[in-house]
Formats: sequence, structure tokens, C-alpha cells
Amino acid sequence: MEENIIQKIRNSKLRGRGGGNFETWIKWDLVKKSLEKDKYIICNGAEGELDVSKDGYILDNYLEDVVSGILIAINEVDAKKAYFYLRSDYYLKYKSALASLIKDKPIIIFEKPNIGYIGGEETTICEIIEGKSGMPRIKPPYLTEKGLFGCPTLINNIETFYCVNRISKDEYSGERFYSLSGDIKNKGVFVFQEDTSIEEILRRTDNYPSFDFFVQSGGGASGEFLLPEDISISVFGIGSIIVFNRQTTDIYSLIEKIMEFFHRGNCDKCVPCREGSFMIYEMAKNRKINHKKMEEIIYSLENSSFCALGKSIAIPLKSIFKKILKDGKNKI
Amino acid sequence: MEKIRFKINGKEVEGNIGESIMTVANRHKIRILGLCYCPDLEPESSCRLCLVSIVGREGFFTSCNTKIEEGMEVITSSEQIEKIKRTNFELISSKHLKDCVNCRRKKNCQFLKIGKDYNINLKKNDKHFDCEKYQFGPSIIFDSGKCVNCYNCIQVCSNQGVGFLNIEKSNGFSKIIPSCDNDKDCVYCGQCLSHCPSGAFREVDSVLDIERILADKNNYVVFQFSSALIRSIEQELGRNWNISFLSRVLKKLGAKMIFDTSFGVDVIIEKESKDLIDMINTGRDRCLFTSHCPAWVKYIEFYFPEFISSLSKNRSPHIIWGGLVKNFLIKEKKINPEKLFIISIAPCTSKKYEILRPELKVNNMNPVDFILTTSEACTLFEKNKSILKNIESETLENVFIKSVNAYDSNEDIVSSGIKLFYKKNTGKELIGSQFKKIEDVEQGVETSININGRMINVAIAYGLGSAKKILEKLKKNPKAYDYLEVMACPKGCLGGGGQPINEGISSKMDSSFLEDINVCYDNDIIQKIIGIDEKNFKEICKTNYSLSAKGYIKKI
Repeated sequence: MEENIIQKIRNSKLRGRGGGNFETWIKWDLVKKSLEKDKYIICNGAEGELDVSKDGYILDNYLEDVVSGILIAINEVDAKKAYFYLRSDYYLKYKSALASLIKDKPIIIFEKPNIGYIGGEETTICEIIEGKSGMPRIKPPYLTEKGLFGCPTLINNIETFYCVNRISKDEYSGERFYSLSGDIKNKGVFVFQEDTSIEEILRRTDNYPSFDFFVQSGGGASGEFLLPEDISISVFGIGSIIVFNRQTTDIYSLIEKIMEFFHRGNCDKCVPCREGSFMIYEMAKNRKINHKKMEEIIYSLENSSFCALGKSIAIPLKSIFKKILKDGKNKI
Repeated sequence: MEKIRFKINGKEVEGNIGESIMTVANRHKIRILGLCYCPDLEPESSCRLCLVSIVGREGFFTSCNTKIEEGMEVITSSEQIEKIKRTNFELISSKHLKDCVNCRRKKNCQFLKIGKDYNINLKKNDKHFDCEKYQFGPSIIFDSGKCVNCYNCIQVCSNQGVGFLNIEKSNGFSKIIPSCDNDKDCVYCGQCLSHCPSGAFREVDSVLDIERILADKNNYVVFQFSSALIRSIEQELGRNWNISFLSRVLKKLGAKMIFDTSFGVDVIIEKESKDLIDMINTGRDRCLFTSHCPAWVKYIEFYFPEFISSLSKNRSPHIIWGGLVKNFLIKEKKINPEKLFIISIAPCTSKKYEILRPELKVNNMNPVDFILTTSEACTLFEKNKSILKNIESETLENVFIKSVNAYDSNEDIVSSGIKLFYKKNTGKELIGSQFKKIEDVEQGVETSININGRMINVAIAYGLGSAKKILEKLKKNPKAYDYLEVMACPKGCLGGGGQPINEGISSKMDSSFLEDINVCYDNDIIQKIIGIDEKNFKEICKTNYSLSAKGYIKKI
């Protein structure tokens, strides 16, 4: 008997490529097993992280495979409809190509409104598709139980659907897309096995710096900062590696850039994320950091934010202070 | 219902399935600090102050939206919890204007209360940026400088089926803004005000105008209020505030006459039951709507104009009574109309808009000149504390409070109306009629009364959200109801936008103190006020409605 797709995904050990790193098969299984009549699929193409464009790269090169992945999901969980949720520029670029691929299949191409990074958060996407304001929902209930229009919903990233299609054809062997940017010469999107270390990726793409450097790895602006001695680990999150020249990087500007991204891209619902990221942004912009206050805000972001976005802001900030500023080579 | 047992700070407590930790803690008088929590709204969980920890689980949980579970052990305070709460409150307060000294809401401000708890410096924020201030029609002011982005106002406005308030994010900041949409308008119900924890919403101030009018001894100032409001005033200002005390205070402040708005209610009940009888006899095929709530009237005129002809043509009780009293004082007592002022103390912000409706004018005069909300009345009394000593010297002459049949609530009014209606039609007393909940309408009740073989279906809706659902029902089936009573505010008039914000209102009014007030219908003056001819009556008590254009919003 042919192995079913969920079993295949399980065996492949595929984890979601949207940053959450959740085992894909579990989500699929939960939605499939739900007894509700209406179920939905969402393909998340909001790709909103700073300096990251691997989903754009996949759309450019493997559009058909992504659509096939979605169709496999519709079929497997018996979904009523799928929404292909795309950030504005992707929407404009691919809508006609998508329309001709989709034809009469129940996939709706949906343009993400102009609301920043939060517009890629899964519960927020449901709110937006339902026509409400761009703010996240309280979890639980999880989307697999009560998602879009209150129905069980399976949401995966573009890359995840791409992988599922490969899994279905027995072509997948644990590879993933990496987005490389920053102070390197060969910027762009590359494919390696998912256990490849940051160091190896930099070397094999001929990007390993000759100067003293540090990297931010994982989820774009919310990635963790690492020194060269820490980069023998693989990349988490959405697979981003940003390289910084230690000598020329101004840490104030770096924090300012990251925090401006969050200040503008968050939803402003909860206090630590709304006011906290703004306050840290202000401190960095004014080149005047109150360390005690900063530490308190980071603690609060990590422990009391409403959604994962707020919690993730603590990662880059903590690692800047713990790693990059620790040895005194960089100062603020 | 199955009970859930769990512990808060080691204390055994009990709750129902689906309840949040906050709800159960409140019921057990365990205080968990929270800014955005409102028992009658879905938790926004935006303030992140009501954090607790749960033994055996990692992290912290907001008690407003964490459901209770059997055997869970909740801890409400620890070094870490306090650290986060303090940080979050400091963050909240970094944006607030903190002009607390000059703020009318300071007495019941949740923001201020928490600030004091945490001993946080609430000095006025001088380098304040970007704070627009809006006035919605003649009723409501929104000062964004005092907004803490809890979003309760957005939720309650949308629950009301109005959706006049929006969030707009520009330049990284989210702001609450009034809708520019031409098909969205404020109906001035003031629920935003009741649900704002930080004083960003308030009613357009009448206290200063009223003080000015009272200060001029040549003016003839008349007050009217519904005696049910005394409970709110008592709760706000202290136990000694019974009706005779309030009346003496108003006299001391300069009132010449004081009336119970219930007299106006009686006029309406009489009229409305007659209208209903006429309607039934002529076989009219549409439902009759009450029209005493100005927010409801505006809601119909703006959002559901197709139902305008259903609205009762009777004016609201205080407008009728104001008109009748003015008519009496000008004609009988020869009071100079220019010096005559009628002030209604009301729980309502929408009445500030109602009194300016041009079609209500009688002889080119507004029947009521000012609305003093209950909350404003409390402010007025507090401001004038010093002159309120020795008020015992004030007599209760010219104070007309109904000793019998004073209405305690809207439900009271509706059931009195139905009873009267029944008696007139059947000659019998109505017994055993009970309201039951309407399916799919959160806050709606209905009943049917058999009048000589014809079933009369009556519905009451609390809150415009519920009223909207009944309207949808009537659109499908115009004969679903014969009579519909609506209060725009979900808790009825006593939960109106003009009420002081407090923990809730005690149940029934204590009427024992009414003994020293003398009035009933056999009173000569009351007889003269209501004893007018039909033409006059029509001019003072009837009105018309029309399609409502969007009200003004101005930046102030």
C-alpha cells in the first residue's frame, strides 16, 4: 500500500519553514482528523523579515511546485478552500501566473494589506482574511482547531508547501533555502542540507569573511547574534544569515534599525511590544541607552508579550548584549 | 453546572467551566491588577498587567484570558511578576498625558489607581507628542493624549453595531480615530467612555455653564432627574445622598423647582399604550419602537432609515416634562423665557445631542436647556462642597418627587406600560407574564400577551448590538414583534455613558426616605402642568424623525 502523505512528511522530519520550527506532520494530522465540515488551508507568503527574500526566490523558480503542495494539502485534509496569502509586491508579480496555474482549483490569491511585519503572523492573517483589523488572536485555540472563520485551518509557509510537493515525489532529502546578506560578496538564496553549519554555508558560498565579523542567524531582524566561535551550529527560524563587519558596524545604528523595524511592523496591541520596542528604538536613536530600563523591557518583552513577535524581539537584543558587546571590541 | 476547584495564592476557590482566572478572583475578592479588563467585554489582553504564574507551568499568564482548570494553582504575585507589571505600567504611562489634576475622570480612573499602587511618578507629561483631541457632535470628547491603546472602545463600539472608532497606524504609531466613512456615525451612547480605563473619553462639559447659570440669581432654574439615579450618586458621594438631600443641595445651589422625570414617563406610558391599541385596532403591520433613547433614535435614523416610521412619535420623558414645565411656568407663573432654564440630570451622553434636535423646539425654545450627566452632577457637587454645609435650612417646597410608581429602571417602565395596556384592553390585571431570552440575541428578552384573543409580541433589547439583531429579524418578518423597547446601552440607562464609572450598582432603590417628600398626582401644580389642551399637547409631546446626516466631528 502506498504510504500516505502525512506519514511521508512525518518520516521526512520536515519542520515548518516559516520560523516556528513546528513539526509539519502534526499540524496536517490535526486538521485532517478534525471532524468539522469546513476546513481551510493558508499558504503564508507574507515574507516580512528584514533583508530576507527566500520565499520570493522560491516563487520565482518553483511556483508550480508550491501550488502543487497546496493542492496536496487541500486533498489530504479535505479542505473547502485554500488562501494563497502574498505580500503586495509578490501578489502583483505572480498573480497572473498563479491564476493560470490554479485555474478552477479552490485556491484564492489574497493580497496582504500594507500593515507591516505583524501581517505575517498566523492568527493575524486569519483576522485579515476575515476582513478584520490586523491584530493577533489569543492562542489557544490553535488554528488547527479554530482558525479561519472559526474552522480548522492548516497554515504553512511557501517553502513548506514546496517541500511537501518534493516529499510527495520522494525528491526531498532535508534541504532548505538560506538567505545570505550583509557584509558579504555573494548575497542571495542558496540551498543546503538543513544540518549544515553557518560556518560551512559561509565557506561553501565563498562568503567567509577575511575580517573580524559577527552574524545574525535565524529569523531576519529577530535572529540571534553570534560570534565566529559560535557558528558551528545550523540555522534555525527562516534560514537567514546576515554578516556584519565588526569594525565598521555601529551597534547603535544596528539596534536602531532592528527596533525601528519592530516599532513600525508590530501591531501595537500589547504594551511591551508597542511601547517597549519604541522606547528602545528611541534610546538607540538618541545614542543614550539606559541599561537598567533596557534590561527590564527585554525581560517584559520575553515574558509578557501577547504573541510570538514580541517575544522574538528579546532574542537579538539579548544576544547583542551577551555576545557582541561582551568582549569590549564593540561598544555603546 | 459543573464546578471547577482550584487555588489562588493557596486559597481554595471555585469557578465554572469557561471562566477566566480574573473572573473567579474578582468574585472571591482577590485583587488582580488589570487596566484593560472589563467584565462585559472579551478580554483585549493588551495591558499585560494582570499576569499570574501557574505552578508547574513555564512562563506567565494573563489572568483575564486564561481559563481555569481543575486543580491548578495560581500565584498572583512574585518578584518576577511585580517586575514585569511595573515595567509594563511604566511603559503605559510613558505615553499618557498625566494631566490628572485637571482631569474630570480622576475619581474613578483605573490608570491613576494603578499608578498610585505602584508609586509611579504621574507628573504631567510635558514633552507630549501627537495627541489629537476630537469632539463627536455635542456629546463626547476623545483626548488621544490620554489613550493607552487598550482598544476597549473599539470593541464596545463595534459590539454596539456602530463601528465608529478605528485604529490607524501611521509612522509606527497606532491611534484611535473617528471614522471618516460617510456611512459610519457616532450615536453618542458613550459606551466608549464607560469602558475607557484612562480617561481618554469624556462627555462635553456642561458643569461650567450650569454653574454660571446658577450664579445669576435672576435666572429661574428648574432641575429634573429620575429618582433611580440616586443610587449612583449615593455610591459615588456617600450614604447621606438620598433624594431629599439631593433636592436640598440643588435648592441650595439655586434651583427654584425640582421634578421627578417619572412624571414625564407617566405621560408617555399613557400615550404609548394608546398608540399600541390604535395600531392593533387599525391592523397596522409594523412593529412600534420606543423612542425615549436618543442614541437608538439616531441609530435608526442613520443606520436603518427604513424603520423610521416604526419609531413612536412620542418625545422622551424628560423632553416632554421639560416642555410641559416651561409651558406652565411661562403661561401661569409669567416667568421670562429668557431667564428660564431646565436642566435634566441624566445617565446619558446622547441626551446632550437630543436636546439640540431642532424639531423638538416649542415656541422656538428648547424644552430642556442642559444635560448634566450623573457623573457631571457628582463633579458639580464636589466642586461646591463648601457651600453645601447647612443645607438643612433649605425647604422641600417646590420639590416634586413621585412617592408611588417611581420607576426604578427601564424594565420597570416597560412592564408598567404593558400592565396599563393590558388593563385598558381587558379590564383585568396582568399576572404571570414573564420575559424570556430571545434565541441568538445576547441581550434581548421577549414575551407575548393575549389581548382579547390577539397575541401581542413584545421585545426588549439592551444594547444596540442586540437591537440590530432584532431589526434583522423584523426585516425578514415584520410581524415578529408588535412592540420593541430598546435601550442603546447594554446595561440599560443606569449603565449609560454619563454614569460615574464604578464597580456596579446596588440592586433596588431604598424608598423609605421618600416619606418627607410630599408629591402625588393630586398635587395642584402637577395637575396644572399636565392639564393642557390637545393642540398644545401635540406640540409639546409629539415629534417627527428624518434621515440623519452624519454628525460633526471636530478637532479641538
